Amino acid sequence: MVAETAHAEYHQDMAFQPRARRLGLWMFIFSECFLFGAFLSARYFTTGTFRPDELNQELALLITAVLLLSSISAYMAEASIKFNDRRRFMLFTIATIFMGLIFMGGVVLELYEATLHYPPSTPFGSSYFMLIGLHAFHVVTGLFGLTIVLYLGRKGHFGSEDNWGVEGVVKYWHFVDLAWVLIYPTLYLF
Amino acid sequence: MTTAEVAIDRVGLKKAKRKGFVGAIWLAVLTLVEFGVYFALIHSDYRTIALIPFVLAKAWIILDIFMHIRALWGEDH
Repeated sequence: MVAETAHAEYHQDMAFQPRARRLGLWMFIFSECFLFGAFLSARYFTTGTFRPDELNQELALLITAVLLLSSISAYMAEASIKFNDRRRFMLFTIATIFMGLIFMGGVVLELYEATLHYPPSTPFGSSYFMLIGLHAFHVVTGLFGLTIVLYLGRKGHFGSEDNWGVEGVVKYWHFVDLAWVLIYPTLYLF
Repeated sequence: MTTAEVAIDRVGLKKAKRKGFVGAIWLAVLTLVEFGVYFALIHSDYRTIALIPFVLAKAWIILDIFMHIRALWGEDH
């Protein structure tokens, strides 16, 4: 009985909550690293560092820049709500969503070009579609999360004392960016 | 539950902005240099090895500055 009470108190301790949530999210991100790692290693296993000449390097560099910029605006959105600047939080979250949509537009264009030059039936094409598709799925879920925190933030949720929702989604968005930092050279540069 | 409106911590926000700006500059520089190295070594066998440090540096900037990984062991945040 005493042990149960102590256990309940332990979980009610608000100081414990952010650290536990953060650790849980990191464990999720760590597990995602294995998924991306498997897909990345499959690319090297099947085709080594081979790259077709038709790869659109300019487009890839452009969408990489857009995704990196979106990560910076996501960071600014998180910092803004942490220090109670709700107006900037809204602006930076909208900017992040907008840049995420531009990135997705670039990905659609990339995939269209890929179907013409290296379709999924080719060894490089299969790795390309797998990696780009997996990453695009994460971008879409990240955009979904950002839209939810934008909606909740607009309704007055979050602030300096309670910004876990924003921190969690923004951290996930940074992970999407981190995955792209590895996928981009794997498919285009190495 | 909504959070009541409270004053903006401008000093804290300015500090965070500066940190984000430094991270952004590093990411931009490393991405451009990475692309430059790719073109300079486009036909070289050493291209992959030459590019790996840039990839790792960019990954660490994102993990450290933007994702606050050091908060996990209580050094940041």
